[in-house]
Amino acid sequence: MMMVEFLRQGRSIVFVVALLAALAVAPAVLPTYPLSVLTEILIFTLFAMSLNLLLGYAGLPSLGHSAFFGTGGYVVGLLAKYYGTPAAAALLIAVVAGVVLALITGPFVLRTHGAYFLILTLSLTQVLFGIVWLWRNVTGGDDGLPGIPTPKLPFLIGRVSDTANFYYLALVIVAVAVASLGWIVRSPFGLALIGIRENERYLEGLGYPTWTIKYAAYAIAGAYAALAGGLFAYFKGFVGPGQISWLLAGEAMVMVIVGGAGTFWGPALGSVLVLLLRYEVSAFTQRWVMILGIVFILTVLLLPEGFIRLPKRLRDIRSRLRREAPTGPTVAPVGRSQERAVERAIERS
Amino acid sequence: MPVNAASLVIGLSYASLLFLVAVGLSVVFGLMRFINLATGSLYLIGGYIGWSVARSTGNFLLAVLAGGVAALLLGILIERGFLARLHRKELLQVCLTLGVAYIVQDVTRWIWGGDPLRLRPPEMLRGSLELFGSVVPTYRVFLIGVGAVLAVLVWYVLERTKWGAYVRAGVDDIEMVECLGVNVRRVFAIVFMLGALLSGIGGALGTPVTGVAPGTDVQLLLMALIVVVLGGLGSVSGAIVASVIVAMVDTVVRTFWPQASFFAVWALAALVLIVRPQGLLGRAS
Amino acid sequence: MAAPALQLEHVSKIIGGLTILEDIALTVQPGERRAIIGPNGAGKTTLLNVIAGFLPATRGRVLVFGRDVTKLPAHRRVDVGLLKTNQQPAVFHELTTRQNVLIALLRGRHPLLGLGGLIDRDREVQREAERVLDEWGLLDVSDIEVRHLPHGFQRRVELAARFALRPKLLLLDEPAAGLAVDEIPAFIERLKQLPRDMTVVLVEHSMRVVFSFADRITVLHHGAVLADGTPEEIQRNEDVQAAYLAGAMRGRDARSP
Repeated sequence: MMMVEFLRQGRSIVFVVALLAALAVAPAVLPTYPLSVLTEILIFTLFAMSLNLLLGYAGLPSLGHSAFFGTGGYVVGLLAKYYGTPAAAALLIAVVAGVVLALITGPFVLRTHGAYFLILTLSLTQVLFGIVWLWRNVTGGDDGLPGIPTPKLPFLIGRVSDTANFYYLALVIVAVAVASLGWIVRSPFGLALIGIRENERYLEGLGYPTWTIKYAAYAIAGAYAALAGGLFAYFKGFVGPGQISWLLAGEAMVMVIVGGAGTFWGPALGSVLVLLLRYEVSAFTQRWVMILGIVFILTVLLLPEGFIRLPKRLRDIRSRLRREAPTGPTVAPVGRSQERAVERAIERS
Repeated sequence: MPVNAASLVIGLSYASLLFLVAVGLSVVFGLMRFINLATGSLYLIGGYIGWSVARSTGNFLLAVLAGGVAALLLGILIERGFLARLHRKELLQVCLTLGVAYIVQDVTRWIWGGDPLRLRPPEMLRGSLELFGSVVPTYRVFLIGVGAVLAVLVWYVLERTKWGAYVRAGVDDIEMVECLGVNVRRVFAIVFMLGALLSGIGGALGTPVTGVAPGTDVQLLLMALIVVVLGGLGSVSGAIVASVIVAMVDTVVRTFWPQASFFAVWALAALVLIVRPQGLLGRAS
Repeated sequence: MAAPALQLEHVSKIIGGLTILEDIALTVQPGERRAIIGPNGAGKTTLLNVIAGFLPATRGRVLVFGRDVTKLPAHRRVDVGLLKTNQQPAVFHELTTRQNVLIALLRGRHPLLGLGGLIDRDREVQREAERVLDEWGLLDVSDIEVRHLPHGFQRRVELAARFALRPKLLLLDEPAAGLAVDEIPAFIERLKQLPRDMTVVLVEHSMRVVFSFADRITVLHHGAVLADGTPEEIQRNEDVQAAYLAGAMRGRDARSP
């Protein structure tokens, strides 16, 4: 038991170290354009993971998460443009703004759940979009705020290209943020979120203040999304209403689902898949929107738990094929070892 | 005076279109908690097919029917092919219907191009007539009439027939209806397809007014979502009332402060949901 | 004398103009085993939900160990030792048996809503979970998702999670529902082994369970208390027989204690 646990943990440590190493040497091997795509993937990984906290863990289907992303972007944009605030401070203020927005809207949206939650979050995001759109003399309206200076890591200036420099900055911030998200989902709070998704009332019956937990999760998800949005504004050197648009929230939602909602690495995989599809497929065909649509549909039909489960799914299919050969189709809800465990336990009791 | 008979006619004709798109969405939503983000695509396909049929045959009635049937076929494909397996899986429904919307948008752009297409109304409905001292387009008045007739028809079917009673009971308590031995899945499938048909008819009828272009689908989808939540999930009367409110607010704000029209409708939706999460005529869950 | 474990004063519950519970008065002494019986629709489950705080009482007061909990939300009532089981076992289907136990044990253990700790690092809670799983005979299925377990096991997981929180007043809503007939004697034995410092209020249809377990019985009928007494008194009570027992005993596994 302990050994298995240890091995599993060991494996995930090896995975994380290998991933970080690969990401650290990426600028040495990748040309400028793929490196900027990778930067975008990092930022969207953080955005999708923050949404996953609501969508996958707590079961709150938000279609308005771009409100936080955009808020982070505009805070960074305004501070950088008008006050010349250094990046560290601007990003921190962006995070605070995300939390404040969540704390204000939370009591309203958390009165609802399911489909209503989805549409209320969408509505509030559209309202924010409208405000940004109309408030021209501050936000620039549909022109947005161009010319946000890209921050650089000082000790790397002159040693690597500007693209690589910002890439490292994003990598460090995203890595730290993802690690802290890892803490959150492995904490009792994370388990409680799954409990809320499964059955909020049962969790309340065990003495958990479920409303407060949801409120906190909403604020935390808002904070990370604002951080991602702030980074994205620096990355593009621009912030506009498109970064609040619900289309972006929909895209993040698709990343989470395609990758695997409620799994830790699923959204990261989803952001890789969706962004690679967009940039790679659009390079050789005009029809990438259609291909994206087909991928969504195939995912839902063939891999409803997301691409993160692809290896397991393949194993299942293989073992089922093997088992079906002599006996014909059998529905096997549990693995055979699990069946045996249940039988053993029944005998003993 | 900006709010005169003309803006009333413009608003109400827009309300007719909104109702056609929203009513199916609302009932399906209420009945199965099903979120169909491809609703706008049904309108889009109805519009494009209607445009093509009218161009080649010159027959407007045929164009409207063809638009409706095209959307119906797409609806059958979505329902039979995919949705029947995704009962109560909201996230997957969203992902799937978004995928359908992407595909429809791209295929239609491929076939019909990216420029907005506008259909001329049939001969007898062109021109304008005078109403309460204002000059209003005849076709808009015709749209209001069609919308009103269809609204009454839908209302009658759902509120006054036995079949409609199953649907309404299903919105309130689906398990109870299942206990009565009613095949809820079939009722749902029929409602879904009728909704698709109405959306397609709306699309074809709407081309002379809204035009049809890539993006019309998103615009209609968002408006229909507002109508649905404002009126209350699964409520036909709610959809009627909300269609009129949304269309009128939109039209009036457009007259006074064109840039804010988009914002005003959403603010209205957010406000209503904050005060009454179940919508104007929806029942508290 | 110590305060009663549970005291209801004039509790009424009206839902949508319909009176579900009317002026209920009920006193359960510490350590007592109380059964609440009554025909379907008598309001038994509603009563338990009002006591547990899932439904607010329209009128009246609910006191647990002398403390007025009428205004407390359900999760705060757990603080005074009140826990409830469900007709359908209240377990988290996509979590493993171990996680179901852990989620109960972890309640309030770490600061900041639980953000201040890591489940894997909390060795003490891991050991405690292991002990609870062992005690309830769940070790073999500890890492299986609960949805794969048979009903009887889901019930056991539910009870294990509740007991991990050391209830002082336990509300059981039809715990024997869904058990096979041959599982019932073992289940009664298990109920009888519950520690005597725990007060138990039980809603149950199986007369066999009720009469072999309860110290006192309360009969609900149309949302009001029809009778209250020892099992013998209830059996002799003519009102009860007329309203309920006769029919129920014909229909169910009627066997006197």
